[in-house]
Amino acid sequence: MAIIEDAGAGRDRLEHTQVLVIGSGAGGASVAMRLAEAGKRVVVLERGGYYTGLVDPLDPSRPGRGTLDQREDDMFVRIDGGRGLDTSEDGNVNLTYGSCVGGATVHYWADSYRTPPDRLDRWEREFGLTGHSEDELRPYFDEIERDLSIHRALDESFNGCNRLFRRGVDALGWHAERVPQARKGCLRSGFCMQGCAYNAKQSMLVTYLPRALHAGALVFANCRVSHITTEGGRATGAVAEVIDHSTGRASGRRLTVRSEIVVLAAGGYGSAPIWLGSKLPNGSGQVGRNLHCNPCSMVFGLFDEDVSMWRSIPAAYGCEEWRLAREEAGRYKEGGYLLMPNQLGPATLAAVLPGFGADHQRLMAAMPQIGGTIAWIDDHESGRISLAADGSRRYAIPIAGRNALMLRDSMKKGALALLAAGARKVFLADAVGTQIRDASDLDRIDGVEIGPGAMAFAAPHPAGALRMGPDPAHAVVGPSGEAHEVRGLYVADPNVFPTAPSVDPSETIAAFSLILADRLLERGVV
Amino acid sequence: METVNEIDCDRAQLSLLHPISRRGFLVRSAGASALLAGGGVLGCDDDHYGRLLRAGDAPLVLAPREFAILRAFGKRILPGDAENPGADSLAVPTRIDRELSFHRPALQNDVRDALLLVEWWPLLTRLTRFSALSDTEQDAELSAMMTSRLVWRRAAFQGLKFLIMFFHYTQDASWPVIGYHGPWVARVPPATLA
Repeated sequence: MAIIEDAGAGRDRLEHTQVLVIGSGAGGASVAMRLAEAGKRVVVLERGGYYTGLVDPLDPSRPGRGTLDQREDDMFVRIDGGRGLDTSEDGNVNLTYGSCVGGATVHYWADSYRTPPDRLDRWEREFGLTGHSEDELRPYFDEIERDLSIHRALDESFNGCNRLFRRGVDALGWHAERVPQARKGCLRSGFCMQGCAYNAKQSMLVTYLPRALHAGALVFANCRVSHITTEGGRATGAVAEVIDHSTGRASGRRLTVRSEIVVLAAGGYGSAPIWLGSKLPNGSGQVGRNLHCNPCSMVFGLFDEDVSMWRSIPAAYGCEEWRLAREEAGRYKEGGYLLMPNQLGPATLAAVLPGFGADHQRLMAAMPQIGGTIAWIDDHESGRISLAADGSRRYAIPIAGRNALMLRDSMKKGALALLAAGARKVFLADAVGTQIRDASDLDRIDGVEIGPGAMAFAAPHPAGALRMGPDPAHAVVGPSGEAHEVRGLYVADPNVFPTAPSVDPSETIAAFSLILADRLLERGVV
Repeated sequence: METVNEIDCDRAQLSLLHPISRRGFLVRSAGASALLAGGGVLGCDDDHYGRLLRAGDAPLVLAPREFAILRAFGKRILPGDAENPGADSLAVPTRIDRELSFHRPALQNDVRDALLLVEWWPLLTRLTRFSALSDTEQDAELSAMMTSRLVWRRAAFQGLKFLIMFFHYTQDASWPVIGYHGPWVARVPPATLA
């Protein structure tokens, strides 16, 4: 049992299987695990490489490679899809996504929410989604929470930033709770985003993928799918380029997989480009559209006490007061985001802090006293994924309209929380570091430039670009998870969500994917 | 489609011809094109850029003069002094150049364009290029660039600043002065990093 990192060992290779899964993140690993444990032959293709912490996730009695080494630059190189430098086409939004065995769960924060019932109701009401109600999802959430040791953040997990955040939002009377965490034996080192070196964060790398492998699945790393193959309107497999691990470039060798069904699970930013590049049918015109990605704003506070925001878990306490947008007389008023304590390493923090030169260096010298908030907005206006003439991917993400209003409001609420927590200086992540001294300064945020080059937003939760729905004219896949226009092709990643889930999406992704797998088994599809 | 602008003695054409790239450092514009074209005519001073390079500088992606501009930019973004190791002393430009070798040409060209914009914009107001200005003048130019109302000029600054800051503060030697404790495990150099 092993991850196959050099498919073909120098030659082209052909595999025959029952189930081909493209992608090994929360969606792909869940499907692979379930179907492999049901005795199906499963092949998983992962574009990225195989990296581990100090213990071998496949055999905990053996040492790991130590390649999850807690460095920000190595994290970018190894587990981020764009080596940390991918952005939307106007440069306003940094795209954060996984490209490694385990996918985005290797760098996620382990925040694990059930899909809010109001969001499931909305998906059913507005988009006609069936088969994914709260009652139908409940046993899957129960199972995932058992498997991934999901529990509310413990007292000892609260770092300085978490404590200050709790002090601030509690003082303001905002509804907030301990954030559910997928962790077991956490050492509170604080390097979740770089990939847990201790296998404590319950990513797919250390949970569902080992189970899939133990059940006989074959997992190929360094295999970039160039296209999905079809015959007579039915998916028959895929062709992948084998990546040379030493250079990061295509080796010239190919891995071809012939399969009874294909499960596309290459992630919110990855699956639609594979669809488009494969020239699969797009009669609805919806492939690549409806991209939601939770662009997030950041606000920083300088405190007199030690914060050391880089230690322990990123977000032990989350504010749900503003999760749903509020309107007044039919117009946006406030809210529409989760507000959380932030955690950044020095390199990322330096890149987003305002200014340059000596002023910036003085700010960085105060890093131990810097805390902050981050807010993922429940994007209202959606973006679009497309391919340029040369095949490269383009991501249009609108920071405008209600999205911009929500981002500005989230900065106001973040500033209020930091002020209530006792920050002596609160400032934005714009070019000049606009200061908010008290509540009377909040209106200044309405005039702050937030366009490209003025403020950068990260977008870690892509969803919606192959959305699910019963009507082939408006949706790409049906409620069963099968593509409306390609038989035998299923989607098991956040692209099927009609909108963003309004909370961190990993548990929703896994639950939808397990439902898909169980229905494939129930219907005898494989 | 814009026309070819010969702005660099080492390269036949500028990446301004390419469609808007993923990184989006520069939003393409006729204004930027004209400015860079003008700069290119005056930009073939090998001696000047040679003096800005250190012995042993051997960039993989950037041309020597582009690398020299990156060094000049980095020195003002993170200057070195008795307390702070500057970007230059930590060889941040070399680290950036190596990283660029793993990215698509579109991103590499965005960085080149941004560097040329840094270098030649001061021609408009100071009649000389960025790398020939004093430290004080360079800081004033960068401040103006950072807060420019021109999106593409501002974006070029932020894109380059991101690279300098990020690849400086990933290095262990930058941490003592900022009180960062650092990782708990040893660094394992990545395979895909020449």
